[in-house]
Amino acid sequence: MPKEEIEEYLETIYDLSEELGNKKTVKTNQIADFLKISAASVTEALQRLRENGFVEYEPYKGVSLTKKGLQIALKIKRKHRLLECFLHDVLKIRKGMHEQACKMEHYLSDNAEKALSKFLGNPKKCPDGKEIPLSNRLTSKKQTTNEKELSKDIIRLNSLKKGDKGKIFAIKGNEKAMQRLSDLGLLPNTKISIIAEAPLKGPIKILVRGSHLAISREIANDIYIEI
Amino acid sequence: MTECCSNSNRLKSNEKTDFTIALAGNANVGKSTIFNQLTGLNQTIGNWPGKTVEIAEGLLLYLGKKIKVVDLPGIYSFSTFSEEELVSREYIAREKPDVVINIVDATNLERNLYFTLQLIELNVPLVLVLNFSDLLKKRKINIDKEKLEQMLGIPVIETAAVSGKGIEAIIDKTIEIKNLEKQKNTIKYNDDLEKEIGKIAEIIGKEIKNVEYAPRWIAIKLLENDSEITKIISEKNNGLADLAKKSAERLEKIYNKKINVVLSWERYEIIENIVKETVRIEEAGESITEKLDKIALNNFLGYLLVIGVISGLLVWTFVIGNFISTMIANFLGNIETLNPVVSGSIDRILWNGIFTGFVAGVTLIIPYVLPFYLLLAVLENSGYLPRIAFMLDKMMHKVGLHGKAIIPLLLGYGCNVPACFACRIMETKKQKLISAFLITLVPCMARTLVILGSVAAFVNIWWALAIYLFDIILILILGRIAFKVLPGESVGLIMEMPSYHFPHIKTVLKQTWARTKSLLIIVFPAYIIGSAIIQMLYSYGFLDPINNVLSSITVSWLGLPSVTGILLIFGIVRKELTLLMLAVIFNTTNFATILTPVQMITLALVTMLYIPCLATILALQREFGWKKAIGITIIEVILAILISGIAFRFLTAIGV
Ligand SMILES: Nc1nc2c(ncn2[C@@H]2O[C@H](COP(=O)(O)OP(=O)(O)OP(=O)(O)O)[C@@H](O)[C@H]2O)c(=O)[nH]1
Ligand SMILES: [Mg+2]
Repeated sequence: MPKEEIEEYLETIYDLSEELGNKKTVKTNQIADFLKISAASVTEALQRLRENGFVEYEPYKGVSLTKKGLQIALKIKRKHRLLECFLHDVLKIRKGMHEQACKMEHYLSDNAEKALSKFLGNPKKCPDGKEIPLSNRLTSKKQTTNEKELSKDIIRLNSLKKGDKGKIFAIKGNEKAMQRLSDLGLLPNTKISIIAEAPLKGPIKILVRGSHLAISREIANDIYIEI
Repeated sequence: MTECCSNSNRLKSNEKTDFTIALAGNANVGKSTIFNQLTGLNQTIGNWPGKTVEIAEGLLLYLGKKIKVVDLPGIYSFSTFSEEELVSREYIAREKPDVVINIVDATNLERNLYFTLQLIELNVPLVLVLNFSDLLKKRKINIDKEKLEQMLGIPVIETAAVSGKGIEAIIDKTIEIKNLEKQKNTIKYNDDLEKEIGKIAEIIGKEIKNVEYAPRWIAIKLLENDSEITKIISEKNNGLADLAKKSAERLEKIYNKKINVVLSWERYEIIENIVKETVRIEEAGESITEKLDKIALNNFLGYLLVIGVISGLLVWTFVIGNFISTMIANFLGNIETLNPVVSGSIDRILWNGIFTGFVAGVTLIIPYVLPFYLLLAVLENSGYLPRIAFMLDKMMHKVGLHGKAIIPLLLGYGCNVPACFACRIMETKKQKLISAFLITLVPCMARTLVILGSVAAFVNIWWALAIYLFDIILILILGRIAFKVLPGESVGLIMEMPSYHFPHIKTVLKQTWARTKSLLIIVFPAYIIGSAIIQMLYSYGFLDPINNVLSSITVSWLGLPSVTGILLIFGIVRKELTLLMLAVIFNTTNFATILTPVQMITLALVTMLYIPCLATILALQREFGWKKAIGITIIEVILAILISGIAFRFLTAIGV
């Protein structure tokens, strides 16, 4: 799958889920309608995206972005909206602005993106008033993100080692698991430390609020930690 | 063997009582221990979360009052994401016990008070019990009880359930607050939350009549978008759910988080504050649990220990069992030599059947069962089982389960029936079904008797262990297939890891006795009746026709003596009957004189696999319905015949 196509899909999924009020999953036919292509080819593309870890996708249920996918989508969205600003504010192009940006976004390097943002005076909104995502933000939901938070390192609990400590930043994933974790007191800002790791990517044992918990890797993967 | 606790204190369903108390709290905090203390019953106790899966009721007579005591499954919150949580919530909210006794682990107040706060939301008469108070000193924890009472607005009692300390005080306090006017709810959330809760609760108070729950609690559940409550309320007033949804959206906007997280966060914030004011912990060094876990969870030693413990359990059972068994056999042999009675009056035949059944039971069953259950109870109460779950989690993922499933599977080595019920600790339907299916393949005590009593005793212990090993491999393969074939979702492991406890000796002995006793009461009659029947059939010549019908399978395919036909039929009722009846028919427990080594191994294999016993089939039916129960049964019959036939040929070929 060409890079351009991947980016286009991820961006579409992001747009649609934003449109649906941040409802996490987007349906295949919604994507097909949006891109004006057949549902079958969307399904095929989504399967490919899933294999590469960009999306979580279950036929009939719908698709949602993984962290990896979301990062790319946000990046491309940022480029898109910065380019719109550029076209609109500097070049004064109104007609076809959106389509132009749509094409250019894929070829704008990260360095050029940074330079462009600086050149435009780090705009926060694009010409039609939509927010320009910041580059390494975790989710589009958190509105109060300030510069200090952005500079912090946020990693998955999975990448921590035995003996490491941190603070929970956010938890996502399966609703059942999320509910259980918050009942057990795993909430944003809660301190957490890793006590033991089972070999061969087995579960980890963590200490939270004075109790010891064993959790599988796939669940630890959905817990984001600030260190 | 079915767990049973026959006791005069078991409550009859229509018995009138003065009032009801319910024991509620997180998993593994000692609810059942306190229940047993209060009622004299024998609920299973162990050191791993999720033992009690069903409501149990008992009776306490205290100062002339008849009090109904209810033991509930452990729960972490009132959100209805798991079955046992719904059971407990429905009971507390609907049955309205007069007083709820909230038992908490005093060494871990922060996590435990989360549920307390939810009980306070529910506005039920409440007593807080700080259990494990015996460990407070050791861990240098100091709790300001008065302050805690004052901050929570409910009475607080300290107990050490294992030794019975403080148990009476619970009841005294209960009687005291029962006579009191309604307790004051003193926990308030922050203004944003209270505003929305208050708004909804007010309307509920005015407009919704005859619901069992408190308005404030309903308001909170509606905010959380709890499916049960939303459904119930929508039936009565469909505007309310929308109103609550709007409120939830407002709150989500203010806090930038999902509403459930907002509420959990607020609760924990309040708790943090309470804990800060009431609990003082002097910095303790590395705890014993942490030290032990360095070995138990070690990459290499950890696995060695798992293998050692599981095979140790079997070897210990065999060594001790064989020793006692031989002793008893010698002892009985001195009293009376048994002669098979194949003719004579019917009561002579019957009596002989009863007697040999009894003797076979005493010499074969009790010696093996006692040491097994003793060690199992020690293991269960030590806190090691969750460590096995931790170490084997990865392996269990391969069959669509996770580490927690190891616990019911291990319990299955005792008896499949309670193990099937223990599958409720698994989160999804699919995971419950797979675990229960695999449990029916685990050789329970009854099958262990057959394996140890024949193969280990008369071939050698290595062949017996090989059968167990083969069984484990088979379980993994079938589990993998079931995981691929069955629809449904699987979720990962989230499990509390309790601290190790030195097993409380009285608890261990009581548990071992309770399980063995249930065997004496239920199982011995089965042996006696079974062997009387078989003696009758034998002496009147009915055995051969039955055996002949089955001989195309038993003799031609499996290479067993034709008498095994009837044994396998009896075995459906209880697996150990296959061996026991063999002893009865041939009047000896020296099976080497009846079967060749190959036949013994084959018979052990068939017995191990060919069908879940009757009680297990019924347990499966109760948990999953007839269709699945029968499906599993049929699969296993076919599987057993197939595998054992192949094994017979293989064993003969290699010349065992
Ligand atoms: N040291 C100590 N151990 C206790 C005390 N109370 C209970 N235990 C032990 O704690 C473990 C758990 O007790 P249970 O009564 O089975 O706990 P439960 O709350 O019924 O657990 P679930 O049914 O799983 O929810 C057992 O091993 C008990 O022996 C206590 O006061 N002190
Ligand atoms: Mg219990």
